[in-house]
Amino acid sequence: MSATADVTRTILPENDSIHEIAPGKIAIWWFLASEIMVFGALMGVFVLFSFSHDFAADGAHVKWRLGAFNTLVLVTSSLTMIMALASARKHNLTQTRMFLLATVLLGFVFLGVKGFEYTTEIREGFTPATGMFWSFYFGMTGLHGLHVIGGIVVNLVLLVAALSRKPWDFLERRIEFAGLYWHFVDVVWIFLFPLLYLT
Amino acid sequence: MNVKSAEHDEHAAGFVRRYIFSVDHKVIAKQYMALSAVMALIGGGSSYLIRWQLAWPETSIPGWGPIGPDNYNALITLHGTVMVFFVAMPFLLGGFGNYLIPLMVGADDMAFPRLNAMSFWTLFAASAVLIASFFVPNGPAAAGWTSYVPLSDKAVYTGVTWGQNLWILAVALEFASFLMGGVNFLVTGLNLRARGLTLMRLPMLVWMEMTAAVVFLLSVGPLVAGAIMLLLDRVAGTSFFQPDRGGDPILWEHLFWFFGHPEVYVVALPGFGIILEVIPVFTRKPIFGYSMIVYSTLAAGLLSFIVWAHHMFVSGMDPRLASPFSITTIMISVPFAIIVFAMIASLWKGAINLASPMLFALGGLATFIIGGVTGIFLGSAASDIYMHGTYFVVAHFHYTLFPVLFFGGFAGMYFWFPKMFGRMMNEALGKIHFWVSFIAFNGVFIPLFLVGIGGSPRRIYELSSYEMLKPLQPFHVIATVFAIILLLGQIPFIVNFFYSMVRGPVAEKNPWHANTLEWTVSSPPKHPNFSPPPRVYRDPYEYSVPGAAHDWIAQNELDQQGAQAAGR
Amino acid sequence: MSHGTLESVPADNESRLYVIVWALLVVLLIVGLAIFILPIPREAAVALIFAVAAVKATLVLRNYMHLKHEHLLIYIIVAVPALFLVGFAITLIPDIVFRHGG
Repeated sequence: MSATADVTRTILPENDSIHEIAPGKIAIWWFLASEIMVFGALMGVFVLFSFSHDFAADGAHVKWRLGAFNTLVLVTSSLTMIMALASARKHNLTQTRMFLLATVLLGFVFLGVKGFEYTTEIREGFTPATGMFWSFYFGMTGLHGLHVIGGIVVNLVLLVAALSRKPWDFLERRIEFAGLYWHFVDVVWIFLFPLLYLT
Repeated sequence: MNVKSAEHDEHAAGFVRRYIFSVDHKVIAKQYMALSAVMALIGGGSSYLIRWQLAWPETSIPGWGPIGPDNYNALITLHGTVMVFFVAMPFLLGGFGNYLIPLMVGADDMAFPRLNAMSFWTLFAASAVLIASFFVPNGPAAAGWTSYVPLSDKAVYTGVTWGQNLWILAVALEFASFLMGGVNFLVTGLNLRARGLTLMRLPMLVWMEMTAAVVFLLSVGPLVAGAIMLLLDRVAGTSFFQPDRGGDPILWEHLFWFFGHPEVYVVALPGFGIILEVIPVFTRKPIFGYSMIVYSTLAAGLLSFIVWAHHMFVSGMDPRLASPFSITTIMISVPFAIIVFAMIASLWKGAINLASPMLFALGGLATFIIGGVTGIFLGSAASDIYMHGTYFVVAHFHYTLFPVLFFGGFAGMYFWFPKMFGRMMNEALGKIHFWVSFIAFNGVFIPLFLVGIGGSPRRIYELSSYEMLKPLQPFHVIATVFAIILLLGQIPFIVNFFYSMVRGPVAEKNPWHANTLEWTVSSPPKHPNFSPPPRVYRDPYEYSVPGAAHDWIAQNELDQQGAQAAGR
Repeated sequence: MSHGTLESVPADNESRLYVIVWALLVVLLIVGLAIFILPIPREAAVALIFAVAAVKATLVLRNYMHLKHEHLLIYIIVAVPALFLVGFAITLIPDIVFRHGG
């Protein structure tokens, strides 16, 4: 989300509460709304299919302990992300950098564990072509994984920005928007985990 | 107050920054329009080949040569994809939306100028991918613009391999582009309004563009999910849509049409917006029922999400869904009827001036009514089952989108050309353009209604090989002759466009004596658009106010007498 | 809804709140896993697990994504797609569930 700072002229009609929202915030929520539709449609279809297909047998083969660990990783990364924002608001540069770095590293841990899961499953003979459950499993976690990668890239860019001492208002706003995205990816996982691992 | 940012200082910047990778909404709008014009040549050319094949099957097409059945499938896929995604949306949303929303709300640019440029270049990449798909081995996508599964799901059915994958990629990029564009529409329309420009004082076009952007956002997600599933089916061996392996082909149609139907309104609403901007200026009276049109637009936007399965009455979906969707489909004709009646009532007792923009606006209104009325036949499951697979649907569809895209789009083109290029267009050529196009358009599609009712199926390469369809062949010939006339009828416009751009009479600020804010700045507008920022005092369509000095009062004009006379 | 922006919350309380929310999320994760492991009837377990997930998502949305401080417009942007999705899924039940299940 690039050019939010560029619009400095916001002259608004009187008695209009919409101007209380930063334009960039509408933009990022707009983007998240479209993401809700994408992931929601996939999950909705998965739930519907689960009534007419036997997913339980295949579902028994996913590594729920690894999934639970990854949930912990992602939830913790949400905490570090929001702490990065809190630190930025306090103008504490060291903490901001530290928390951003922690978020990036936790993102990599998540991807590493996920990659290990994929490898194990494929070695056991479960590929996207194995059946309906595995189609959804690889499709949904893969799409989610791509979002994690995207989030890591964004956070790395912000980390570089924090290291090169960009102005605080620049950092604060961007960390907030990147955080909204990162927490959303976390929320998606909060639903994907029970959907694919626990039922 | 008006703090200059990097973008606003780009006068000093070089050619590339100013005209290629510009972040000025006016330049980006023209880029969208140019791109859609190029794509329209491809889309129009494909319709020429399709129509020729249907009228005189398997003959050598002048200027091209013979086309085979495989190419025919690729051509209809191309025609639909290009016209909906790469002509209609870039022209009506990308072009007019970008150009006019900031000017109409009194802003200097879109809320996110760089995002705006990124949106255009994403669309450019999408177009490049689509065109590239014509040169990959095994040819371009040939499963129709709807890419129904299982036809599109396995390469064995159409013989197309990478062409279909690239089609999915191109459409996905197009969606990404318009999501980025749409956020600009909404935020600019809501947050960058000039002081005094309340929501109910917004020009209709801004309302329509904003609603279209929201409808697009809310509908596209499931299709993106579907596109991911389709791509995985094709390249990763999943089985989402393969019935032999537990998948469900009907699911694709649901995902597609949940987007596909609202998409019709994404294109239609901006077209209506243009027509509604043109009508008051050329009747010299306010729009009839402004607030009713706004509420109807919002209602239509909402209802558009619960009608999609009327595209699927013959798909084999659960028949219990047919009645509910018939009912909602008939319901959605109510808000559109209100909008159309408001347009007609706006003409009532107006001082109608049949200049080119008005001719196109009226042409759009007249033809859309036919499209709307024939929609009733298709919205009701009982009659749709008979007509769904026929040319009746083709004719109906073109009678809904052609009015908004072609007539609405050209009404806007003739209307805002002076604003965009600072010169007037030639009226005589404009009128020739209109009458040839109007007659030819009806000449193409009225015969297609008839062959449709006669039972002529669509999506067929060679109709004359069926004995029962032979009596209908003359209608196809008539349609093709008019289609060629329609294509040739665009030559006056092309001449007019380029001639007027250099030689047309210089346009003043407000050549049509219109009220909205874009007419208060120079033609073409300078950069930044407004200095100082405008202050709005009135509704957008205060024409022929009794007691006023002129028969028009600009939105930013503070005229106490006129204000009192208008009852404010 | 739009009153009381985040800046008005004292910084220390803010950080403490975030840690508390995180602790709650971890506890709920353990609760969810416990429901999964314990011998509870499947239907009840599934319902409970998703109830827990919904609570977790709400915690993140309200606290980490600041939804509790946001303008009505943001709520609309989030709620409308969610509602459409529910409607969409319900409409697909006859086609997907009944067809294959029957």
